[in-house]
Amino acid sequence: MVVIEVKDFTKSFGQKTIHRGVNLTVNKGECVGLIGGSGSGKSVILRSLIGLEKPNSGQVLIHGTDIVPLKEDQLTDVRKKVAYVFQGGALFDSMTVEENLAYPLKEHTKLNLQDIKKKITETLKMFGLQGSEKLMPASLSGGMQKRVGLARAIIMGPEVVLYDEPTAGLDPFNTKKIQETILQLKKSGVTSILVTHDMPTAFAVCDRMVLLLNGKIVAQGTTEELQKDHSGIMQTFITGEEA
Amino acid sequence: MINQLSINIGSALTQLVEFIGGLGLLLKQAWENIKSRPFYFGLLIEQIYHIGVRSFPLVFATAFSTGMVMALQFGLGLQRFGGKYYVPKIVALSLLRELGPVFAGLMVAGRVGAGITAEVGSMAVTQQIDAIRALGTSPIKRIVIPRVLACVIVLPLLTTFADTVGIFSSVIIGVSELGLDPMFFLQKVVTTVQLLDFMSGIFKSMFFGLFIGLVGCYYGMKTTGGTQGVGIATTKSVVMSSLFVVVGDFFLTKFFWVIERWSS
Repeated sequence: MVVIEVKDFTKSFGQKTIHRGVNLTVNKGECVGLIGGSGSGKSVILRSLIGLEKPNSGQVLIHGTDIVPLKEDQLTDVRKKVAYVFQGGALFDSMTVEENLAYPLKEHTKLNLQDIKKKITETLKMFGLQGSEKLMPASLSGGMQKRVGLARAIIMGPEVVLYDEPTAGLDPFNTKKIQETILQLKKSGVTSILVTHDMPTAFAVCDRMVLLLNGKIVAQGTTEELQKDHSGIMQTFITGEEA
Repeated sequence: MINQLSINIGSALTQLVEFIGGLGLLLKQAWENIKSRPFYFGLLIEQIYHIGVRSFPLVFATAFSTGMVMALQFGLGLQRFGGKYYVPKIVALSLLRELGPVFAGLMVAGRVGAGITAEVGSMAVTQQIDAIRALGTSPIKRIVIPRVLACVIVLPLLTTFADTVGIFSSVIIGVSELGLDPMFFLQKVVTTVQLLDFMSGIFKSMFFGLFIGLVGCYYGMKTTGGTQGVGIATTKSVVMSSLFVVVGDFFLTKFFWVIERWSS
């Protein structure tokens, strides 16, 4: 069953055309790695999947509904089902860790404060962040900020998670923690797209990888296929011979 | 050289049109969003505290010195013609109709306008505005409406405070430097000032508040380019807000003048 479908996606910024008819499908429970050189527009596609960007032309279908023509208030339902994990965490720096995690629960559920607190404690424990409830984001390490950002994104139990370079700049310990969380979510049936330059993580968590080059998807294959095949444009990118 | 000049003028005009259009669009979005739930009352109260309560010392200092300077200048000038008894009337009318709202507006434009843009701009460059949207909530409701409304509510209060402080500081100078009786001074103020004089200043300050809040949020939400971008946006915001207070004051004065003539 197809959950995400991108059809003939075209996007320009001023005179610069970034995407020239990108087509992509992601099935339920699948984790797709979106790879490509810096500035190739991977994050723009990811942002378009929850309506943070609008393409110049083309369709973005989530569960068969085209979200491109939807207005900001009409996107709320999509955004409850599709979570976005920002590269830097994007935590609200005027709120504590607990308040950051409580934010979506207070906005979209009727849970009482006690239940919200319980859910936050459980989620923080899952991410190895217990005891950090009262800390402000500025006092957290980069790795912790990313993990709190991930915790906030998934606390509502989304059907789809979009990861924007979740392991960039992290030490091996935090990278492993993030990988484990992605695999855990995948096991529970969550569909996901991972934008990354971190190839070991992509190979560890993705079922399939697609390569974005010159505004188009030029190659794709399952992780097993890519591990066996040692030729082709995808391998050239992965081994660092071309960006 | 002429070519370069025309390019510069063209670019400045484009920026102006973009600014006016963007501001209008933001006002429209805020108006549409204010009519639907949820309304973040707690955030509004928080902003009233930050914008209003914390501006009182600054407005007090400005109004106090302005009142004294006005009384001193008019006193010294009019004394030559034996007109020092007109000082209470002139000072009270100048403060209520012009200087109270304008100085309160300028102080708020500097302190609050800069603060709003810097805060919202920092949120924009660290993707916190995107996060608000990605979590299914509206930055217009959470960021723009509380700040703009707080400015509209708070500025008339600050103006009333500035008017009062300015008049009392002018009484001090009237008594100590011009030898006027304090009761005479206050009686002249009360008999001269009409409700319309006070209200025209209050309405002006509401417009100033609306514009300062909108401009602060507009430049904040549009901020790009990291910390340097935040600095640039903050400067633009303060310049535009202050300009509006000064230039807008003329048009608002004219507007209220027409209304007063029409109603009398």
